Amino acid sequence: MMEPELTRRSLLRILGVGAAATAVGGLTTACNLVGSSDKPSGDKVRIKVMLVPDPTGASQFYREQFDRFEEKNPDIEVQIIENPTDQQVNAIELSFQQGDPPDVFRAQDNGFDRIFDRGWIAPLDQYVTDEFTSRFPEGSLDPATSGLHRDGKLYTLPLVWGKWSVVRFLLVNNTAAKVGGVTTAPKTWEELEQAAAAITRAGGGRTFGFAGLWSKSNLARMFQHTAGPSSIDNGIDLRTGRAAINHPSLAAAVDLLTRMHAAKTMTPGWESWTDASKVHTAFAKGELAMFLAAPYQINEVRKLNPQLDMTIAAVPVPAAGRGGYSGQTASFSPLWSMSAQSKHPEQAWKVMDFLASKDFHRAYYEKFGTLTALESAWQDKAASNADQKAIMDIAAETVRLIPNPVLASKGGKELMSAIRGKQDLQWSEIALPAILRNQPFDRAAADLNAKLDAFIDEQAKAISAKGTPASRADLTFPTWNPLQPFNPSQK
Amino acid sequence: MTSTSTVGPGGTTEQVAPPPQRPPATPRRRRPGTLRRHAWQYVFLAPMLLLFVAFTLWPMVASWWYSFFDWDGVGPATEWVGFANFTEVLTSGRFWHAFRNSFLFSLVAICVEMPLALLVAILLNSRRLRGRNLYRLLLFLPVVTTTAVVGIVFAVLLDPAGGFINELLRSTGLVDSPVTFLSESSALPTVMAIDVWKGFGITLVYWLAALQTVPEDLYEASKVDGANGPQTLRHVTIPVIAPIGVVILLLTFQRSMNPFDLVQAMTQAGPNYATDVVATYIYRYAFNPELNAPRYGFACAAGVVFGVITLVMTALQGPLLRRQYLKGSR
Amino acid sequence: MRRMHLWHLLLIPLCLAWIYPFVWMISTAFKSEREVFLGGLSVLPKEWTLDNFTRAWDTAHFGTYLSNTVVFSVTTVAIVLLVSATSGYALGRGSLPGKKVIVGLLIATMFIPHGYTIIPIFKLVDGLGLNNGLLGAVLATAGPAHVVPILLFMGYFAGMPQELEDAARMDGASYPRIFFRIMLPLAKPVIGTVALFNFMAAWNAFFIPLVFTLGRPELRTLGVGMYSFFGQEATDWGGLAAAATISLLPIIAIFLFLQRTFVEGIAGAVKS
Repeated sequence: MMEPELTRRSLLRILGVGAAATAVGGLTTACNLVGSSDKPSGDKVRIKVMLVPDPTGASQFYREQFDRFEEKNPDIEVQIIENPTDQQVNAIELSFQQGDPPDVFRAQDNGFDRIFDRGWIAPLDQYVTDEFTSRFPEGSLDPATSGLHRDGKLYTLPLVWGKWSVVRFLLVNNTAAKVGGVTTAPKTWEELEQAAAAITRAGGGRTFGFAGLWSKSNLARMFQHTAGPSSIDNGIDLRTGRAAINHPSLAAAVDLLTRMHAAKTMTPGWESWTDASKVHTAFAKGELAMFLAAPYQINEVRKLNPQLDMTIAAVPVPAAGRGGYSGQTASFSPLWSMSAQSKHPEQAWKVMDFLASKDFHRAYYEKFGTLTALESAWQDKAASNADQKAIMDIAAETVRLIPNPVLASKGGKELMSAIRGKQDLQWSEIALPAILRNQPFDRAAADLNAKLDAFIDEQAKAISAKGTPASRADLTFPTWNPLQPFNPSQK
Repeated sequence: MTSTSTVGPGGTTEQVAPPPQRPPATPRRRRPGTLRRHAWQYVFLAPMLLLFVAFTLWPMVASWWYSFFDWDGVGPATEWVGFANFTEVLTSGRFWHAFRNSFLFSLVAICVEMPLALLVAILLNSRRLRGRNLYRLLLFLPVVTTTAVVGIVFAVLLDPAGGFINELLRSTGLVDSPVTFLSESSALPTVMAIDVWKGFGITLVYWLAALQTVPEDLYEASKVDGANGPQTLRHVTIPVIAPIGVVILLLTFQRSMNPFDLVQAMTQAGPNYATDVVATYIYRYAFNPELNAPRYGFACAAGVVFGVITLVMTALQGPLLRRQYLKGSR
Repeated sequence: MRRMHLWHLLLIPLCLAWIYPFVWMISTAFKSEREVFLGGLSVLPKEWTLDNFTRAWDTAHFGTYLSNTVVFSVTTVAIVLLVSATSGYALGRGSLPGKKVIVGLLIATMFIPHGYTIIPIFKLVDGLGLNNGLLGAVLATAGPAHVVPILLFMGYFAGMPQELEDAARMDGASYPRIFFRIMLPLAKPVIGTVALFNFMAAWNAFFIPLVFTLGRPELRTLGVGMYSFFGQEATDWGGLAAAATISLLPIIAIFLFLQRTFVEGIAGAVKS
């Protein structure tokens, strides 16, 4: 019954702890409550760079690099603002709305276009010199195909090698594969299926043949790319400009996964993996013998097990023969951009210029093993690294340029943006249930295909009504052959 | 014994009967003085009302407004679409699926977590149990464990290929083939179970608080009458704590409606949307970084529909709960 | 008496299993990166390392974030306490015209989902010019009605004996004086309860502190800093575990301190 007494004491204690903590932390941060207007020291110009500290260790890396930059440019102070990957685009948008945007920021792929469409990105052409252009592989800065230009102007700079984000591999853990008697990397879908079954059977619940991360339906896409036009990623066959969710190549890819899932030759529970670390760990431990990988995943696996005996091979193709390639829509993917509202565009450009310098790219390559946009920064070294050589060889073998309606016309850009934004019409919505429930894909595909076609017609009208002419023609590239590299002048 | 200390755990229930305020007749006639008489009360209410209007009411009203626009959340909303967002929400199978899941989460929290926590609370409330404070702390730890970490640990533990739990099940011969806890068909119950695990400590602490209000002498009396454990529980404990139970029910309901963090950390609403809840549904449309353009107006419409239905459902149960609350406190 | 001991046979294993994820988190914080991924589930690290902590401390700027979090949480809790105690008192004692409407409105908003209202809130705080400091984040966290604390205070104050107030008034004490000198000190259990809950929530908050510190990362809190371990390509489990461990210790300490008050607070408020 003496509770009130105790209460008082413990409460006092807690108040004491709180007060002490506030005193310590508070003294330093109390002014942060209302916000002080902190100015850069002296007459330096402060450039804010908003980036994603990715991959592991990037946080430190960028700071070191910018320290070096500041040494060479004593009049500039670089302030780094880091954001979690998932929040970067939202963060950029909100900071613009707030009227305090970064001068330089990282916005990738769709994220770049989102910001660009709001008119917040500055064109860079006025700063570009011949020396700057000469750093990039020849012709790769052509406005029609660079991927960095919009409406003929340069708006963004790349970080990674163009093929880096497109090329995919089959990784084989040779030790694990040998358990099932598999000694060479499967070359066809059918071989892969058999190999996966054999390894799983011999693995006795410890080792499984195949797995992957479903995220963004990449797993099915990687197979589809070897069997048909890779533009079906977005549900469209760019040869005809029509919806192609019912294309046989997609059905075949989905069926392959359906069969493997039903036969339980894939690691149980693969469908619930949300983190790529899961795949890397299982593979490095030998619990998973094969998976389809993006280049960065090779580095991740190596980090976990540098001695791993693994084969890097091309993604298997259908036994009936190759029907398509991994499609590269542009020379590069957008990454670094400069704010149109920057008060110090000259200095901001210096930072941009540094981020596209050979030194920076070389340092990035050496730190993370990533092949970067400036080939000359790493080509010599990569040729003598077995993994990186394999990456380059397989990229040359399996990646081809394909038409890009986003770059080809304004109407195409608007249409593609509408189609990509419509979650309900993406085929991954029906492909995953078909695979997990062992149901036929065809009927659902035909159904969704009709809906997508109707949506395209409806959007073409709506977009035209708003003043940008858009039609099926913007999605049609009749001369494209998925087995040949596409040249934009073809159309 | 503790009549002045207001809340001492020894306070008895009959004291509580009619609240002391509300003298029955007079105040009506003294209209002119009302405002002045209550002036200080309004002053005390002012900060709350100000913040309430600014940070609860206005954002809500604004969201209602936005839900009539096709708007991506940036700049002024200009594209008025009338009820189009609402028809799309109401006819979206995914939305109703997420809606159903949200309610299942609440149902499990109320029907499983609450009774279980009560039983454990009764056990831990016993003064004769040594180390009960330590047990309380241990059972409370999941509440404060970072959700992101929880997601990772359970993914490892429940892994069908070599995960600890499957190894255990297999070595004891309970199952032949591994259980895929996070497959399309079983992910929802699994995440719900983890939600119960994570929220259990809070509900337990609530119940422990409720049990403090049961006067010791009632237990003594019941023992004298020769009642056994379950009988005491039914005839002494439950009637006394019922009104608090109603409040705990509301608290649990409110908390369990929003398992966003856990779902996002465990499954990201997958596989194949099996664990989608309204919060993740809204998030996908409003904040998903992979979108070309977020559909903020549509997300607002989904939030509004969900809020209205929840409110109506709570309001329907209102009178029932109120009766229970009053009955218990009598 | 002896029967009670049997319960330990059940409780001890149950609790050990119950806190396994927590223990895993702490042990992972001491494991090397490779052991985290390849070593599996063992609780004791093979070789102990402090790398994760140094990484968490450096990359996630935990020194700064920790003091930010203290300021953010303490201020938030202070505002919530003040606002809900005053309004709870105003609503709980004396028949206030319009009380039913206010309480009804509060309870009604309790069930409206939040999160998607962030954009109007952001615009509001931005319009007030509070976006440069933590105060914006504090207001956005403390501002939306904290219905449960208000109801707790309301219930607690309503249950206090009338004589107490009458006696004070007889002595000539004013309304605020009665509240701050007599009533509030008696409400310690509720204060403890509300403080604990809101402190926990503020300490772990992610979305609001993130949104309101976009331009000023040096103002971020631990809850936000935690997410820098989730990369696009891989998650740094060790760093995350270390960061989570650091950030949880204060919470657990506070729970231990406030546990008892807390139980009384709820009981006292609801009983009345």
